[in-house]
Amino acid sequence: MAERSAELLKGTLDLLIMRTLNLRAMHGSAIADRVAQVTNGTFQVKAGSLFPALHRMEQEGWIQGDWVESAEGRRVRSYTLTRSGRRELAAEKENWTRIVRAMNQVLESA
Amino acid sequence: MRLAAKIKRLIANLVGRNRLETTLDAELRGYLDEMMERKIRQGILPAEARRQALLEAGGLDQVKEQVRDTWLGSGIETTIRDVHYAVRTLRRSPGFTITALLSLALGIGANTAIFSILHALVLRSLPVSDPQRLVVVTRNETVSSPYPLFIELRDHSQTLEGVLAFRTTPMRLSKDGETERITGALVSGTYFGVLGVRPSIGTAIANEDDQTPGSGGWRGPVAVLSHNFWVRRFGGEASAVGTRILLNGSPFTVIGVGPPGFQGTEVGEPADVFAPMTMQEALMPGMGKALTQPRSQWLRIFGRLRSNGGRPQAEAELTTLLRRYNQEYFIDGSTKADRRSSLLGQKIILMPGATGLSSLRSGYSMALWVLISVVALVLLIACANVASLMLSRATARRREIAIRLSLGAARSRLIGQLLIESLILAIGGAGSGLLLARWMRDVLIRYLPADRSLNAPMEPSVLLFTLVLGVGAALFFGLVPAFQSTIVEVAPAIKGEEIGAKMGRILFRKGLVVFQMSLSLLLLIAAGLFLRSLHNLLTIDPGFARDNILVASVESGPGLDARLLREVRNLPGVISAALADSPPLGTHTGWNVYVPGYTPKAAEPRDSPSVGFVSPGYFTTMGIPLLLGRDIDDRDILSARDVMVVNETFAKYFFGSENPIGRRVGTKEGLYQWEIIGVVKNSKYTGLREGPIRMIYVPARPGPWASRTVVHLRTSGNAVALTSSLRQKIQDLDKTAAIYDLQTVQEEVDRSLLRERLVGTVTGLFGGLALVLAAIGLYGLTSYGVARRTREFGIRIAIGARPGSIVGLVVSEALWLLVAGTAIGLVVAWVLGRVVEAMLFGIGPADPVSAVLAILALVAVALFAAWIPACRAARVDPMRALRWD
Repeated sequence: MAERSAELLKGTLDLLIMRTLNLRAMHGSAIADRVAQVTNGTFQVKAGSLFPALHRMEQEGWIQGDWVESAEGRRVRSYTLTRSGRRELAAEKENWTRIVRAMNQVLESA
Repeated sequence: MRLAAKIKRLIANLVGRNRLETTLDAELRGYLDEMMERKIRQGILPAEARRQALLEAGGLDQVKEQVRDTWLGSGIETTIRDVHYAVRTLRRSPGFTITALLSLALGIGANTAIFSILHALVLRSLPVSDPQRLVVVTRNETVSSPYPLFIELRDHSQTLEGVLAFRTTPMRLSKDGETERITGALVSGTYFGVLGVRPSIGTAIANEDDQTPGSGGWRGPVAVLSHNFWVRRFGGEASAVGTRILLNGSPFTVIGVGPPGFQGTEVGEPADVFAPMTMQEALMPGMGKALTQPRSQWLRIFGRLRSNGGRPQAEAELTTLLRRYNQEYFIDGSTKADRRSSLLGQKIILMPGATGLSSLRSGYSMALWVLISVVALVLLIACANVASLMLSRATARRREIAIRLSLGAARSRLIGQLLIESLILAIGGAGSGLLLARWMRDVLIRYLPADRSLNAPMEPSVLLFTLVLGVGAALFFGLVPAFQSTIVEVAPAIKGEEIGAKMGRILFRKGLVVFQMSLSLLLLIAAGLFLRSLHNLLTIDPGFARDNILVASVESGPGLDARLLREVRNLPGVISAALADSPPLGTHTGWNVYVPGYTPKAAEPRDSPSVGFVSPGYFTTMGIPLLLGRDIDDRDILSARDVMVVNETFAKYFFGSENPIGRRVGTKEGLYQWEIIGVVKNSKYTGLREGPIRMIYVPARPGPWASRTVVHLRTSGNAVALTSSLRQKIQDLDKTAAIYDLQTVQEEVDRSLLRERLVGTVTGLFGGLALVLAAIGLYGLTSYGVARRTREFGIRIAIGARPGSIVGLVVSEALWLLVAGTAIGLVVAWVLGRVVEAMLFGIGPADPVSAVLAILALVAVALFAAWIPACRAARVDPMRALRWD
């Protein structure tokens, strides 16, 4: 089961992170918590996936990391969705919906 | 815009690498702290909380490694770091690095040098348009054809797009009163057009310039300069076009300059000047009226196939034309049946012409292939050494590699890093090899015959060859060690235990040493064969004296000979002098001779007897003993009597044991005008390798056709001292005379052995180098084995083994490798020997002396290489060895 969820995560992690950051800026562990909470624990994002994804997206220019003070008074690196990130999110969302619709069609028709 | 942003990011990453790292570190530490705090809040003790947090995250360094890979330019960054690291490692072991670099530089340099010559001589296509469609017209296995046949093919061939003819020949060029000997090319009016060569300035020789024998065309006699010659002699001035020059004393107008790089169609004899074929009588007076002679074979004919036409159709058509030609010129009612059928059975074969023609090629390409194989094998031996050393170093670094693997380094990264080390060595070797190659190439070119020259630039294809060689070498000595050394069982390796892949690695290294032994034996045998052949040639008696004789070739207008001989005889220091049409080892025309009462044997030699035209005093001057009768004297010249001197072989061939003096010989059946007046001892006539030749000497009579005369002077002292006075004397007699090949007979003999000397020297040097490299390989392996078994030797000595038995133990192991290498080497040498048989002299390819000498050399050096570490093994102190760990 764990194997399967990780596989699922791989293709969708970027989308999940951007969707999460679309609400407000967040730092690494907060993003992981939020994703777990929203998906009722289906996706447990580990550091080994989370940080490479964050850094890759930052390199792409979709998100932007800044040092801020967290609610608990800790210095954390908080990520904001950039303008091109919003565009990317919209495009990916659209893409995702299309895939889901197509997959559903295939699966229902059988 | 996106690209620009990416580049900006890339630069920022590369420059601000440290900031990225600190940011990442702080970010991950913060994350871990947060996770830890959560666990502490759940009531877990701090130490345990930290352990769990780390475990869940999957290790701080592993995460960092994964994040780094996402940074743009991380590939460049790691490569740069790998290069730094590799350079540092290489610098830490300078002995290894220098040995590797030096052997690679030598190997790659020699390969590049020989390849550049091979490329220029054998492989490079002519700089003409679409060279692949050029064909060489050959007939009866010769490339020489008569002029009327060329006209026949030019005018009637439908399958060829065009037909051209040329002939390369030495000429005298005079300009502003200065005469020099140049290489000229007589070319048909179709030459430039069919080749598709356009002049860089002026115009090319066209059909209209090649119409009238003796005057060319409406422009009069014209000439085109090669680009090289134009730069050298005319300073690259555009005004050269339109100037008048003298070729062999006749005026020509320069009408154009060829394109850069184009030096005619004869590789190894680059043409300086091109002139129309119809000017043959002025430019090649020795050939007489060759333009109308259906028998004189002196032209090279090339054709250009149509783009849609095949070679077989063209051959069939040209063969038909050839038979028609033979029918027209050679067959009449009186032609005998067998002659008729042989004439009408002749065929034309078309050979690929893309690389041009070359007499140098046939003599040297075999030697060059042998040499490049030799140096390639030496490079392989050197690479095997580097591979073996890389492997032993990788073994020493097993712990480091294991630790890095366990810290999450990808295996591919480690292999890449190890390969980078090999690549740096290879690039260093190839770079310095390239510098060496230029120099080596120039040395090699000096080993070409004096009247041949070759442009062998380091052009892109040669550089590509070097590059491929370097990268190939790196892969050869880097790949296997890199793969093998990253197969590590992490836990035992870190603890310093040796298990697993070790056996395979040792076997691989032993295999390398056997490989090296067999290759160096092969090279040593080759060196033995070539050096012994050279020695045989050097010690052979040429039949003429070599000391204190000076020869000089003179080309002049007619009528110089008699005066020349009189004058040089009176030079101080001259004992005797003579003229001939050829230097001692030169080329001779052949005469078909008829001897009354002699019935031709069933198998007559393929070559007809050779003829030398000599003045009185020739045999005395050359030290060729007269066995019977008398020498040619001045009265024979004056009275124009048809007398001849023959050599022993000739006399024995035609007259057996009878006395040949006074017998008559004819050059036409039924007309026996020549009288034999003397018999001389056999000597060498064209080269030291030749077998017995039937030789005739006839008096050299001054004639309008005599354009080349070779002066022979026997001197009382050192012959070299007379060179300047001889040159001066000839110039005093004829200002337009060209003097060349001024040398002693000894020099000429030496020069005839240039190729043998080249092959002998290079195989000798590289055979020795191979031996040293193989010894280094064996030494390295044996030392490694001794170091690894120190404890074992300690125990053996502790329980009473004598030092001698330890030495024996180590050396005998090396001996097995040596035996295996020798056996393989002998078999390979035996198989390959036949390939080089034609290059040997006086010995066969299975020459036992060469083989025994080579084996002795290999055994001696190999035993020495194994003996040094063996002694080290025997001196092991048992107390220290057993206390080691």
